Parts: sequence; C-alpha cells; structure tokens
Amino acid sequence: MGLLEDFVAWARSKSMWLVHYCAACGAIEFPPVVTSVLDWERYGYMPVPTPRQSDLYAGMGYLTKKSLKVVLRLLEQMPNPKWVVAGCNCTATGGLYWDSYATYKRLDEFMQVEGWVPGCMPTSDDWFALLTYFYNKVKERPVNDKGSRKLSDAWEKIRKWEEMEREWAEEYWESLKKTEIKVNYQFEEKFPECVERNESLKLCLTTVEAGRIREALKKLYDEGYTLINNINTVDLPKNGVIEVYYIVEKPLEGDQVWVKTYVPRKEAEIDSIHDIYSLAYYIELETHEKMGIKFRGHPNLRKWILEGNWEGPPPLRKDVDIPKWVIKVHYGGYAYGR
Amino acid sequence: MAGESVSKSLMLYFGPQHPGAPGNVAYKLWLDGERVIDAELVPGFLLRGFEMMMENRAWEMNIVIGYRFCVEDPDSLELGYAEAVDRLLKYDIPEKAKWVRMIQHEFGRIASHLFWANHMSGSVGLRTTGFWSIAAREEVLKWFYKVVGHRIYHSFSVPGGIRWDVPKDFKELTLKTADKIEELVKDIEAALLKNSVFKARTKGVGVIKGEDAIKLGITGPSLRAAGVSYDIRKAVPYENYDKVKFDIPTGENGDSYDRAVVRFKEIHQSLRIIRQAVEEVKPGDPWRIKLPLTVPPGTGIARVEAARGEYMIHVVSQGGRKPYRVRLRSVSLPLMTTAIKHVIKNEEVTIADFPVILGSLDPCAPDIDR
Amino acid sequence: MVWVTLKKAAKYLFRRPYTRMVPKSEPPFKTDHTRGRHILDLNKCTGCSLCKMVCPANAIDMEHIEVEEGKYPQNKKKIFPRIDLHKCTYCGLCVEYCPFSALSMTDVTGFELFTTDKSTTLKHPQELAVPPESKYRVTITKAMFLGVLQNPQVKPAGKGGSHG
Ligand code: SF4
Ligand code: SF4
Ligand code: SF4
Repeated sequence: MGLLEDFVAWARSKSMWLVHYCAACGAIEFPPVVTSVLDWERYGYMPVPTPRQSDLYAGMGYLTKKSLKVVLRLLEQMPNPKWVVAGCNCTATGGLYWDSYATYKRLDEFMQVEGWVPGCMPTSDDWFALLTYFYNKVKERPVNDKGSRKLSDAWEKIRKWEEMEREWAEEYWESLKKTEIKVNYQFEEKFPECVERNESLKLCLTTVEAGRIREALKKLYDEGYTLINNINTVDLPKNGVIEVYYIVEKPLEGDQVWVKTYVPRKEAEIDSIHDIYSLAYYIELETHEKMGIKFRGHPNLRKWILEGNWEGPPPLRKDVDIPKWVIKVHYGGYAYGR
Repeated sequence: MAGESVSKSLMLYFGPQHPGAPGNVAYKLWLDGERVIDAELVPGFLLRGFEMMMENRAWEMNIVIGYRFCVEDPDSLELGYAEAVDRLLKYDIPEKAKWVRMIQHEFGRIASHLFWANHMSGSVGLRTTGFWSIAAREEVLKWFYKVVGHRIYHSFSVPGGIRWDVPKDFKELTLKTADKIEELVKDIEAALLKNSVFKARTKGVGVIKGEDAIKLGITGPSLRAAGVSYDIRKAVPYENYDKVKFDIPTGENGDSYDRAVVRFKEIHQSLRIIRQAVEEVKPGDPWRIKLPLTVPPGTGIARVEAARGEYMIHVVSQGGRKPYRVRLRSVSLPLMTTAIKHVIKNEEVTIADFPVILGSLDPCAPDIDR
Repeated sequence: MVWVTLKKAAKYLFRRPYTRMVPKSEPPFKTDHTRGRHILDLNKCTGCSLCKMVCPANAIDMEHIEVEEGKYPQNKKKIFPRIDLHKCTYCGLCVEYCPFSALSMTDVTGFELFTTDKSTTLKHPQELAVPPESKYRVTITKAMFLGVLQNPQVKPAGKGGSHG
C-alpha cells in the first residue's frame, strides 16, 4: 500500500487545480502567473471554472461580506482534500482597508489557511514561494488528509455581526427621529444663470430649489446636456442639510453644468429623474443606500450595492462613525492591531 | 425589473464565480430558450467604501488609497486625485512632473487595454492572442516596477508633482518599452482583428449608436466607437495634453468589433503621446513642490479621460487635515447597466453572446461598487 | 480566415520562451525601486511617532523596548515603531515623512516573507533593525524625497476649481 499511497500523493501534487474565482484586487496579478509570463503549469497548476473539480482556493485580497459568503459556499462544494491559501494583506489582517465597513478582516476566522503571501499586492513572482511550498508539502501529506476545513462557526459569526449592524441602523434612525435639526442654510436660486464659472474646466455651477429640480434638468436636457455624469452629495450636519449636485454635460464640447440643490437631513427626499436620464436610475439607487436620500417616483428603491454587505446606517452620513465601529467590532478596540 | 412579459422565462444567475463574467460581479438573466430577454446587474461583491475611507484619511495618505477604485486602470484615478488637490490648492506643478504624469497615465491606459484584449480573446476562445497581450502588458508592468517600484498600484503621481525623480536611463527605458509593446501589439492586432472567428462573433453584434450611447451615459472608447469623437484630453485638456499631437480614433457602427478596433488604435496613439512626452523630461529639472499639511476650505475638481471613459473627482475641503467629502464617478456603471440592457432590447442576444458583448464594453467591476 | 492568426503564431514557435523560470533557474524579478520590507535605524529614530500618524494602513504602532543604559540617547522614552508587514501596503509614506531618516525600504517582498504562521510578519523594532542578507538591496531611502522645492515660487494656477 505504501507505494500506492506515495503515488497518489505525487499525482495530487502534480495536478493542483485552482477554483477560478477572482474575488478582489490581488487577482490582477494572476494572469501573468497563469499565462506564458510565469507559466505555473510547469508545476501542474491550472485554473478551473467549477469548484467541484478543484483542489485549491486562493484568497486574493479583501473579503467583502458578500464575496465571503460565496467563498464559503464554494468551499462546501469542493471535494476533499481541499486547500485554502491566501495572498494579499487584506486577507490576513484587513490591510489597507482596515476601516472599511464592507469587508471582513481575516480569512482564518472562517477557514483554516495553509500559507500566506504578504504584500499589497504580492507580485506574480511572489506567489511562487507559496506554489513551490505547496507543491512539496502536498507530496508529504497522508493520503486521507482532508486539507483545510471550514470552521464550524463561520456562518454563526456572520449572522452575529449582521445582527449588530441591524441594531445600529435601528438605533440611528430612532435617534434621528428624536433629535431636533434646524435648517440654517443660505441658498438662493439662480438657475439658469451660473453662480460660478470655471473656464479651464468648462464648468458652470448653478443653483435651484429642490422642488424644481426636474424642471431644471428637463430644460438642460433639451438644451443638449444629454449625458449625465454623476449625482454628488455633501452631508452638512451643522447646517442640517444634504447638498445634492446633479452634473450633466454636453458631449463633444465637454461643457458641464453642476446643478446644486439641497434637502433637509431629516426628511431627505427629492424627485427622481430616472425618466429624463436613464443612468440616473442606478446612481439614485446608490445615493439612496449610501447617503439615505429618498427619491420620490423611483420605481424600485432598494438596497443594491450594500445588499449583503452592510446592514447598518447609511455609511456616508457624517454622523455615522464607521471607523470607530469597525475598530470596536473587528479589532477588539485596538486600532493598530490585526 | 422583471415585468410580466418575462414571468414565464427562466431566471439564470450568471456569475460571480464565472470565467465569462468581467470580474467579481453577477447578473440575473431572464432567458427565453437561448435568448436573453432581460439582464439585471447584481453588484456589491467588491464593495469597500472608498468615499468613506478617503474621508477618514489625511490628504497625503489618500494618494495611496484613492486609485484602488479600479484595479485595471489605477493610474487615471491617481492622476485625477492629484489634479483635484492641485486645483484646490491653486498650485501649478513643475513642467517635468506634468510630463511624467502623462507618461504614467498613458502607460496605464495601455496596460488596461491590453488586459481587456486578454479577456476579450479569452471570451471568443482565442487564448493565443490573450497570452500575447499579457506578455505585452508585462512590459508595461516592468516599466512601472523599475520607475515607481510597484507593478499595479503606483502611488507615484501625488499632489504637487511626482513622488521621486525618474531614473537616469528613463528616456531609453521608456522608448525601449514602447518599441517592444508596439511590436507585440501589431501582432495581436493582426491575429485578432483579422481572424474570421472573432469577426463573426463581433461584427454587427452589440450595436449602440452614437445618439443612444450618449443618452445611456456612456463615455470613453465605447462612445467613440459609435462615431462620437469626444475625448476629455482634447475637449478639456489637462496636464500638457494641449501640447502634444494625437488623434482621437473613432468607429462607425458602434458594434463590438468597432470597439475592439478603437481600443487598439488608442494604444498606438498612447505610444505616440509617450514618445513625444519623454523628449520633454529633462534630467535635473524640479519635479515636486512641497504642499502645506493643512488644506484651505474649497472644492477641487478634476476630469480625466481614463481607459473606460470620463472620471470625475470632486473633493471638498472644510480646512484641516482630511478631506470633508470625496466623490468619484463610476465609468463602468453605464456599461454594465444601461448599455447592456439597451443591446438586449434591440438585438437577439443569446446566452453565448452575452459575455462577448459585455466583454467588448470593457467594464471594470470594482468601480461600480467602490 | 483563421490562417492569419496561425501565421503570426508560427513566428513565436521559433522564439526564445518568454517565461521567467521563477524560482527554478531565476530569482524573482526585482528592481532598484522595489518597495519591500523596512529597515529601522535604531540610532536615528527619536520616537516622534510621525511614521505612525502618516501610515494609511494603521500598520505602525510605537513599542517600548528594553535597552541598556546609555544606548539610543536620542530616544528618551525608548519607543520605536513596530511594523505589521501583513497590514502594510508598501507605499513608503513612513520613509517619506520620517524627519530623521530612520526608516528605509528593501527589496525583500512577499517571496521571502511567505509564511505559514501569520505571527511572523509582525516585526518588532529589534527585528526591523536587522538588515537583510547582503544579496538584497536598500531601495527606498529618505534621500529620494529630498530635493522637493520647499518654498516654491508658485504662481497661482489659472485653472482654479473652487466653488461651493
Ligand atoms: S492587500 Fe492590497 S492589493 Fe491586496 S486586496 Fe488589499 S488593497 Fe488590494
Ligand atoms: S522612525 Fe522616524 S518617524 Fe518614526 S518614530 Fe522614528 S524618527 Fe519618528
Ligand atoms: S510603507 Fe506605508 S503602509 Fe507600510 S508601514 Fe510605511 S506608511 Fe504604513
């Protein structure tokens, strides 16, 4: 039997297949590894599209909460023995995105990890330290070794954190309802005149009351400003308002008009313009979830990007202190920890 | 969004773990047999919350984080942030820094287009040209590694100039890299664009006409392929783009094939800009000015032409060490939402065509999520 | 025709392979500016904590170390930076902003730092002070950031972008 087992281990080490899931920024260094630049097929590694044929999962960067759920399900589908390795710093400690509300900070809180490649990002060459280690290691493992396991309380942890976020959101909206917010904000409608011009950037800033925003944008659309660039918001808790900028531009000439308006923080509501500019449908969705502005007349206002990522209060509001919360929940109160 | 007309159809979840998906994003596809009748983007797999993180970091620390927004084309945003802060401070940076920033910006565009060429070749089943594009991109990355010390994320263009002086052999290095890329790109062009399989999969497929494209919010090469010659570098010149000669390649039909052709032509134009700019980089010239630690209240805006379209960076300062608000435009949002919906409505898109059309639009998944 | 592709491809059949044979017959590709592991000069560091304040990844914290009497007199409190190489993004801002040129970077990257035990990448000041083997270079130093125009004759740019 000894000989057969050796043979199985040897064959395994020569045919490591990686599940093709490019989860984050670190994955951009994989094409050189896979193609002729470094050619990892020298070692028998290969990316495969389905988890059911793969042996290896490589964490390549930050773990957004939504992606991590995908990763856990992939791992559940992979046959034994399966291995988990990790490159990139965000996977190990949170890295540069230590204060992000949308990422989990450590992969080994959810599964066993065989090896780590530090770097932000590790270069393609750096991954070969891991690959050669792995190549030799798998040969020595007993045949019935199951490899890296998912930790049994992985889903439990996720549920617990999401519950905490939800509680915070409830608290936030409750306290916002209770507090008196006075609106002291100077504003004068100037549309269609420019309040300010910037010749070199071809910008024109104009102001309009929130109630007349649709009218103003419709007029601009008819004047040839048919391309919507963006909707910007600036939260000003001191003044009790949220400034909203609609940026539309005229292609070919490149002229831009910034239409500025404001909504009170407490009842942040404004008319939707998705029927004038079709792209606004999606920008409004994003503004709604991140800034907490309601768009009247939007057909399907819901959580979109934050869905599955963040249950807490709107993260871009200035009175929502995300870093403090993240440090408390994910770093045990020590900001410089891992 | 699935109305009654699609209620009898099959809903298929496409991505995020799918080699045909352009990165870590998913789609809900409603299918009638083979045909896609509606597609809805499911984003959020790459969310980090940049705007909030940038508001939590000091001005000089933000040079490290802002551009991670889009990993395939970080240099455009790096330049955009540096420009926005320069404008906010009303500083004019040294000439040499401007030229080097432009070279970095153009090399970034080339790397991004070549990365797209790899994805595109892969999605029509032509692995060969994909491998060559990665090799050509590797030359760009090596240039970056030598000059700025990182392959992908550079943190080199900073408010006030560039981070450090360029190496002594900068000119030779740049010209040699440009020559190597040009040689490879010519081969890729010939092998990919003239290939009959590629033509069959892309010609007349995924048509977005000029007028429509504007209304859908599309900018960049996908708009130019539809015949609208709109380029921020020409329309609203920044850095020294008004001092170099280059053309804006445009297409006619606005189909997937034209978009591919425009991108390859753009690589050649970028090389042309690099060759002009490198002549102006003189050793010994100043390359950076020191900026104050605190920034006065105000607003800085930058508009840059990235590899996928117009980036707009809006920074608001209320004084102090940190930006009060940072807002970035997502260039890929129209490509992945309105554009693909438009195509599906107007054409018979089968499930096999879907990744090819999406690939030809070259969306960058992380920049939708931020 | 697909022949065009084949024709072009045939040319590459006779070329030298493009592949870098890392790590078998070649070391990993590195350059003069590769940003990797830091080195700390304990004789220069004053414990001013500027590097900690400027680090975008919160990778640096100050750590008190026990030393013999009279050593490192410039550092009264005997606190030195501790760098978490598994959190750092290798941006070099700490090198740039250190006023006493105590920090620099080498080309020791993930290839050498690869580990199966995560705790080895948290580098304490004494570990940071040890220079790497001689085959590695010091790549990023404070000297590279000098030569910045301190009091520039800045003409206000015509293209101001302020409003709001
Ligand atoms: S470690 Fe760096 S490269 Fe990797 S995911 Fe994090 S930020 Fe991106
Ligand atoms: S390394 Fe430099 S910046 Fe950091 S504490 Fe020491 S002297 Fe200060
Ligand atoms: S290189 Fe950058 S991220 Fe790393 S310790 Fe220094 S400042 Fe922090």
